[in-house]
Amino acid sequence: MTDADELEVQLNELSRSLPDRISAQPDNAGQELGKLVLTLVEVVRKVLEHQAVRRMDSGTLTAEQVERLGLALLRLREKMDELKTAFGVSDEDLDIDLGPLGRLR
Amino acid sequence: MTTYLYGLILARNAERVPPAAKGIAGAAVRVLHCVGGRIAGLVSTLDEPIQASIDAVRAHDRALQSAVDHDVTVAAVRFRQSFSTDDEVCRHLSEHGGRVAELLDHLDGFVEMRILAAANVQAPRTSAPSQPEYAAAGPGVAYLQQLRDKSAQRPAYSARTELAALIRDEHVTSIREDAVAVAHLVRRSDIPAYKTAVATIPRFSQATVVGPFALYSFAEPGT
Repeated sequence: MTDADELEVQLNELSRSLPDRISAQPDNAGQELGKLVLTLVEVVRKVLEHQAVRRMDSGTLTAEQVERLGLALLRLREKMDELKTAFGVSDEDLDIDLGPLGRLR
Repeated sequence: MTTYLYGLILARNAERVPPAAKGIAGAAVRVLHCVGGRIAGLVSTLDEPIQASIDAVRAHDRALQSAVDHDVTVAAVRFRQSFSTDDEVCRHLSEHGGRVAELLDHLDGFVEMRILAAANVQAPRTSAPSQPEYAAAGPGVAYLQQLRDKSAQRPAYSARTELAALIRDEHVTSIREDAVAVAHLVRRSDIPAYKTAVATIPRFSQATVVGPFALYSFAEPGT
């Protein structure tokens, strides 16, 4: 399996780990937990996006591989947007300080 | 009844807060002093929990602005922070306000200024010259290219070099796909010089400078 294939598998696994059904009105505790989960997923998502862009720029991927990676990331972002809306969190809510790495956004 | 918290100030600056300021639902904005506290809260007593609305957000901002306009450095608190009583606010400040107190001590006399610019500046490519381009870009490729271009643009908006003598810190934010906000920590007395300096930066020739504001972008200690 190539690096690009591994990255695509990671993205698909991450996407599958997010719930398909969302409680329309999560209670307060559920909301806090949801925010924590979303923050963690966002960190991973950003890292994977960064890796994918670097792979694309490296010139070592075929056009098809880049397209599949980009589509997987796009679907993941769309799913995250749905979840953020459902939990009532904004991008700023998920903007955590990673210390020496700077902020997430 | 709830105590709604707009922002935090140094207790020693409290007398500058205008007594007639109005906040959410027209409620009076007052300064809440906590025993032994270095910081004080800008608060209102509300009859009922507020509903999220544009009007409420604007009222929240107006309450902060009334203090800023009277030379008070304010650390903005996130919208819709309500507590059951004044004592609950003080308990919260006692437990968590130490770092904010240090921040406000450090930044007393500073305000947040912002440059609002169109996101059309193309940063020069700094990566390998043989960066591949994918001519027949599908949505996946387009998305990755957009991510790459967006991350390359942020350094293009930084004004740290040109404004080094006038700013304490900078924070660049994409506020829309087509707009960027560059926030700066500026000493209040340097505002005229800051505006003059920004006007001399070619990439901001069409930008708008707004402020002074409360410390929204720099309210987290460590930023």
